[in-house]
Amino acid sequence: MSKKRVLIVDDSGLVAKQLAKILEDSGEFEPVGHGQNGLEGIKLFTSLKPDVVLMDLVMPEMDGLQAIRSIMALNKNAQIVVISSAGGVGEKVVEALKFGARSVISKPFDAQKVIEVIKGLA
Amino acid sequence: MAVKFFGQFLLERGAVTREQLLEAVAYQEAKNLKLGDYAVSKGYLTAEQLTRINDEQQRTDMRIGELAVLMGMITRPKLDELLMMQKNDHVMIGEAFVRKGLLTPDVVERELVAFREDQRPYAHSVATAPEGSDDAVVASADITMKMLQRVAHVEAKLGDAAPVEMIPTDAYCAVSVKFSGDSNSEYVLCFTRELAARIAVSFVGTTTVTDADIKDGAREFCNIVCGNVMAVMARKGKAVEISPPKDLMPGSSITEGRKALCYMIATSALGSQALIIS
Repeated sequence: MSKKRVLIVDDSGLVAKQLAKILEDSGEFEPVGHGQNGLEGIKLFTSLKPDVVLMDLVMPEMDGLQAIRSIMALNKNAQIVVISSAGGVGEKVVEALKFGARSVISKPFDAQKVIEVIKGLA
Repeated sequence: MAVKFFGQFLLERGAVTREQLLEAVAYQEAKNLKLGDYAVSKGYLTAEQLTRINDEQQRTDMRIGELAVLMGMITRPKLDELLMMQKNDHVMIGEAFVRKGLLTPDVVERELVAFREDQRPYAHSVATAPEGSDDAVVASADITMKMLQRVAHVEAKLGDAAPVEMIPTDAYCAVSVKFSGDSNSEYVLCFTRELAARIAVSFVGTTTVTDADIKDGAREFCNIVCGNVMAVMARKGKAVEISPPKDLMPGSSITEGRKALCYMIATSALGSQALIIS
């Protein structure tokens, strides 16, 4: 079975590296791209057509909420998981879920939890 | 592990679906009225009075209740009574799941036990601050210690807070995150290179990191700390937003007119760090 392709959108290169490693180590997912803001995320979503998008919320230029809205408008079946800089961004996470995000993962990451959440997507 | 809301905890555990969480949140939003609307629903204010208060609020940054008292529309004892009633009527998310028939009380209770266990490391404060300090100050110092342990596996001890006027010159890097809303504090964490590198290595999970990774890790660490502070503040009923992390120059002055507290953080073998909150 082919690996699920995952796009990471986060302004931190370090977070992207961390998530990429977690995905690679799982053997089930393949990180296919990294966008540093919402705008890059939308462009990469269009060009790479990933199976899953991991989306940070607070980013420069275009934040994650706007990007989620745009991506869901492009493809209502998009599988987006919010990267929550903390559980504390409660209202923003709820807003992201209302826009169509499927689930949420919290920083600092628990590798097993990250994989479970992505595998749990319908 | 992080400070988080019960609803988010349930979603991450797979105990509820996104649709169920949104249904419970919608129920909460319908039941947990804002103070102004709650006051109208209970007959303490008329809709017209609330409109006037809302208009006035556009010109000030005062809370609705305070404005209502100031404008002579409600007395202070009545406001206190109203706030107490609103608090008592508040529907928690666990209760919302039960009322909507999405979870049974037994399941909610079981999940709450797991949630409290998950959150136990964040429940007790180790920091103190001078009387009158912003709640976010103590929460920031506290969460910093806990995240140093959680993220970088560094055992640290927190010293007493002392006022300072500048970012220490010997810091390898310093990162600032500003709070807004119910806190106007600023969180600044100064790193030695060793500590920042330890954090970066821990994030990436490899032994080799670049200088860019190290500084990125310092920013990300502060972002995580402050995001968790937001959650702690939210539990106290305070709405706090955070700015993206920004680098500060070691040796630069604290913004004029602001107070800064420096907590010395002693870490084993990694030098002492200064945490400054202004």
